[in-house]
Amino acid sequence: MKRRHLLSLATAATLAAAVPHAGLAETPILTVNDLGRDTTTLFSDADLAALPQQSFATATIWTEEIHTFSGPSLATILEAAGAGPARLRVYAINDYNVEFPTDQIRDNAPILANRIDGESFPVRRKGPLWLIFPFDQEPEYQSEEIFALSVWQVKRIDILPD
Amino acid sequence: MVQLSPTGAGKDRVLSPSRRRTAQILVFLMFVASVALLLNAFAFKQRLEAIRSASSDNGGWVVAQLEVDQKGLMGVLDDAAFALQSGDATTLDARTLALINQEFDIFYSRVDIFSSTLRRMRLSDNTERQITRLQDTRDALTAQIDALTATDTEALMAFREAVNAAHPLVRDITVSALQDITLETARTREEEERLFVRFFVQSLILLGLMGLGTYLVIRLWRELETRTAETGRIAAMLSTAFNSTLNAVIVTDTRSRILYTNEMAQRLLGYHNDRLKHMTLDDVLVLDAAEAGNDGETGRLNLVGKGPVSSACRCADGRTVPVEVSLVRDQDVTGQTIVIGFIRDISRQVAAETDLRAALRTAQQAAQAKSMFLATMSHEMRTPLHGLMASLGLIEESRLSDANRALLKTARDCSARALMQVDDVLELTRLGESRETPEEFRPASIAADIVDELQPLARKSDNRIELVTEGPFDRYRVEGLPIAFARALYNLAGNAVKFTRAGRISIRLRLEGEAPDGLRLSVEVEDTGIGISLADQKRIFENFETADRSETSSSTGSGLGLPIAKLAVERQGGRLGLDSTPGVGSRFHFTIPLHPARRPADPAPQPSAPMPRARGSAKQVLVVDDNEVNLTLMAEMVRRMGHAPDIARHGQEAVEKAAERAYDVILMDFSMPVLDGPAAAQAIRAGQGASTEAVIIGVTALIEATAGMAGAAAMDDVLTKPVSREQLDEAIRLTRHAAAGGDGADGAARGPAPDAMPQTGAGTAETADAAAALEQLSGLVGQDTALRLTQATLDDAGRAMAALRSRAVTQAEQADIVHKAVGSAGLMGFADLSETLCEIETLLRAGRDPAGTDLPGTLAALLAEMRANYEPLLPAVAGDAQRPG
Repeated sequence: MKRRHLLSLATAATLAAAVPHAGLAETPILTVNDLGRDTTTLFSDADLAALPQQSFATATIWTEEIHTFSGPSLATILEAAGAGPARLRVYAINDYNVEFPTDQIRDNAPILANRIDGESFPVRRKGPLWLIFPFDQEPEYQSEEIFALSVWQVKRIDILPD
Repeated sequence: MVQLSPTGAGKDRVLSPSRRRTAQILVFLMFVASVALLLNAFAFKQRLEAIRSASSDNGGWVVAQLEVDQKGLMGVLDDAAFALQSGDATTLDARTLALINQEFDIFYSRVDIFSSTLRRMRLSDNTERQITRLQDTRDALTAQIDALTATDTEALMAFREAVNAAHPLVRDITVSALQDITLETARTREEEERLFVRFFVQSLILLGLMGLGTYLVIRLWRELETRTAETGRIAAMLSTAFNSTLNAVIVTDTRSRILYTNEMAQRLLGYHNDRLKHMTLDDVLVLDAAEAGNDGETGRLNLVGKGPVSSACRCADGRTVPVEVSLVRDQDVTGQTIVIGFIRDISRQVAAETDLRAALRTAQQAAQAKSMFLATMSHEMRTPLHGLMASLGLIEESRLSDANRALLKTARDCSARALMQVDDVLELTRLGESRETPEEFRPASIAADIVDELQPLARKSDNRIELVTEGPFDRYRVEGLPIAFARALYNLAGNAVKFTRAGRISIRLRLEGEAPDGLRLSVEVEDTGIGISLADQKRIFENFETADRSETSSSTGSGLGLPIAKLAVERQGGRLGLDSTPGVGSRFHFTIPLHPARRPADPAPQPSAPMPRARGSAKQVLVVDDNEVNLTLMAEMVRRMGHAPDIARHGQEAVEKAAERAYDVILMDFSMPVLDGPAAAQAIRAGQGASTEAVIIGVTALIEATAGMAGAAAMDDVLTKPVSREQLDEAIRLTRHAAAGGDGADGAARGPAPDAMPQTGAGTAETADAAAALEQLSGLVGQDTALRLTQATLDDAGRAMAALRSRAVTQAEQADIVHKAVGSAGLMGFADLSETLCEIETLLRAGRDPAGTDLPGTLAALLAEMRANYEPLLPAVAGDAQRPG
C-alpha cells in the first residue's frame, strides 16, 4: 500500500511538475518511456487526437452494448514516440500492468481508445484511455490472453529494451 | 470358348435374402451412428470453440479485484484521516483529494466490471441481490464523494465511515460470487465430461458397428469366393457336358450366326469349328419354310422354345442327314442373347421307322394273304360241297330202300355239317373283310325269323324260345347291317338253344333313344341253360374254343359261333357282353346304334315282285359256268323250274350264244377263263346281239362280288353260291319284274303296274294267274308240296287275322303268329300279303294296336281275294293246318 501510494504521489508530482498547467485537454494523460533510448514522450488528449485515428464498433465482455471505439492505434503511438513495434509494458492507473507482446501490435489494432461513441470517457468509465481490440472483427481476440491485454485506465507505456 | 452363365439368367444374387437384410440393417445402423457421431463432433467443435474463445473474463480475478480496489480506497481514506487527526493538516490538500477521487473512480469502474462480468454467468439469487445492493451502495457513495470538498473534513470522515461500512458487503459478495463461480465451473466441467463420454460411447458404438461390418464383409468375401468357385466349377462342368454330349450343339446369336459348336456338331456336319464360325444356321440346317415361317430369320426364332422339330442338316460332304432340332434362348455371361440349338441325328430312327412300317405292311399283307387263302380254300371246298349237297338233294328218296334212305340221311347230315363248318370259316373271314354297307332292315322281323328257325331245335331239347320286343319299331325305319345282325343273333340264339335243356330262351329287342343320332337297339339273348364259368367266359370268344369240351358229343358247334357273333356285333358298332352263372343260365347282350333309313319312309309297300304270274311257262335261259358240276346242277335246277337251259362254259361262249339267241335270263358265273362274267355281261349288253335285254344274273362264290357290284357290272342281280332254288326263283322274278316294269320303285309311273293290288279287276284273269302260279310252284317243289304250301299259307294268314281279332292273345303272341304268316306268304311270293302282314307285325312289336289303322281291313280284303283265287284250285286238304317243319 505504501509503495502504491508513493508511486501515485510520484506520478502526480511528475505530472504536476513536468507539464505546465494548461487546460485539461493539454494535460498529459499518457507517458511513453522508451527505456532503451531512455526517452520519454508525453501525450495529451489533443496530441492523441491529432494522430491518425482508428475506429471500430465492437462488443466487449465488459460492456452491455456495442460501442464504437476510436483512437490512435498502438503502433501509431509508438511511432509517434519514435519507436517501432517492440516489447512493451502497459500500466494502468490502479498499477495493474502487463507485458504486451510485440506480435499483438498490428497497424490498426489494438487501438488506444480515447473516445467511446465519439465522446471521451472518465476514469469511472474505464477512461481516459482503453487499450482495446476489435473483438467482434477478429474472433481470435476473444481469448483470455487478449482480455488481459485489454488494459483500461491506461496511464503509461514502457518500451522495453531488446 | 463361349462361357455360359450357370443359372442362365445373367443376373445372379450373391447374397441370400436373410444375409441381405442383415447387411441392410448394418448399413443403416452405421449410417445412424455416423450421423450421431457427426452431430456430436459438431457439438464438440462448438464446445472447443467455446473453450478457445473465452466468453468472459477470469471470474476469480474480477471478484478478487473488487475487494482489492475497495481496500485501496479504504487505504487512502485512512491515510487522509490519519493525517487530519494527527493534526498535520486541517484540510485536505488538493493532491490527497485527487488521490481519493482517483481511488474511488477505480473502485467505481471496478463495480461496473464486476457486475457485467458476473452477470454473464448463472448467479444465485443471493448474489444477484448483493450485486444490486453493491451498485446501490456505490451510487450512494458516489453522491457523497462528489459533494466532498477539501475543507469539509467531517464529510470526509463520514464518507470514510460509509466506505468502511461497505466492506462487509464486498466481503460477502466476494464469497457468494466465488461460490457461484465454482458451481458454474463444476457445471461446465460436468457438461464437458458428459460431452466427452457421449462422444466416447458413440465412437465405441461406431467402432463396434464397423467391426461388425468388417466381419460381414469378410464373410461376404468368403461367400463370394465360394460362389465364384462354384460358378467356375459349374461353368467348367457345363463346358465339359457341352463338349461331350452325344447331341450336336450349336450356339448362335440372334442373327443365326454360329458362335460355337461342340465336337459332336463338328463331327456330324463334317466341318471344323473354325469354318462353322463363319457360317449361319441356315447353311447347315434345312428348316422347313412352313414351320419356320415366311421370313426365315424371324421364323427360325419362332421355333425357339417350341420343342423338337424335324429337319435335316447339310453335311460338308453334301449328304443330308435327318435330324431333330430343338432351339432354346439363353444368355451368355456377358448378357448377350444367344440361341442354343440341340441337334439329334435321327437317321437311325427314321430308318427304324421305315423298317417298322415295312414290317407292318408285310405283316398286314401276310394277314391278308392268310385271309385270302382261307377264303379261297373255303371256296374251293364249298364248290364240291355244293355239288355234293345238291346231288344228294336230287336223289329221289322214294326209290330207295330203308337202309339206303338212312344212309342218305347220314350223308346229307354230314355234308350239311361240313358245309356249315366251311361257311363259318368263310363267315369269319367275310366278317373280317366285310364291306357290308348300311341298308334298311327290320331287326324285329329278322329276330322273329330266327326264332322260327330255331323252334324245332328248341323243341327237341324241351326248350321254349320266345321273342320280346319293346320300343317304337313302328315309328322308325332303320338302317343297319342286316347280315351281320342276323348272323350275330342267330349264333347267339343257336348257342342258347344248344346249351339249354328243358329251359327257356328269351330274345329281347329294345329300341330306345331319339333319332337321328340317338337310336339304340339293345339285344339280349338269355337262357336258363348250363351257364358258363368265369374261366370259360374269357376263353369261349377265342376262335375254335367251345365251352364244354368234355361234352363234344352234344356240342355241334364249329367253335366259331361266338367269335363270329362277336365280330358281327362289333361290325355293327356294338360290344358283345356276357353275364353267366354256371347252373343258372347265361345272358348275352349287345347294343348297337341305328340310324333312320336314309330314304324317306315309304309308307307304301315296297315295290315287290309281282304275284306269280307266269307269262308263258318256258323261258330261254342260258347258264354260264366254267365248273362242270356247277354248270350241270344249275342247268338241272333251271330245268326243274320249267325252263329249257342252254349252257356255256366261259364268258366268250356266252357272248356268242347270247348274240345268236334272245335269252330271257342268263345265269352268269363270275370267275371264268377266256372272259369272266362281268366282262361278258358288259359285252352282251353293249353288243347288238339278241340278248341285250336279257336278265343277267351273276352267280359268284367269292364274297367281294356282292350287291354293290351288280349295277356296275351290267348285271341285274348277283347271287352267292351255293344258290338255292328259292333264291334263284326269287332273283329271276325280281329282276324280271324290274326289267319288265323299269324302275321298280316307281312302278306306278309306267302305266298299269304289274303289281297292282288284286282288288282291281278280280275275276278269271286272277284265277288263271293263280293257277299258273300254282303250276310253277309245283314245278319247283312238286305238286303235293305246292298245294300244301299254298293251303298252309292261306291258313297262316287266316290264323293271323283271327289272332288280331282275338282278345285272348297278347300282342307278343299276335306278333309271332303274324310273323309266321309273313314268312310263308313271302316264301310263296304273295308279296302284297306278306308286306301287309309285315307292317302289322312291326306295329305289334312296337306295342301298338293295328286296329287303329287300315291294315286289318287291307289284310282281310287281300285274304278274301286270295282265297277266292286259290280255293277252287286246292283240294280239300284237311287237318294239315300246321306248316311242315
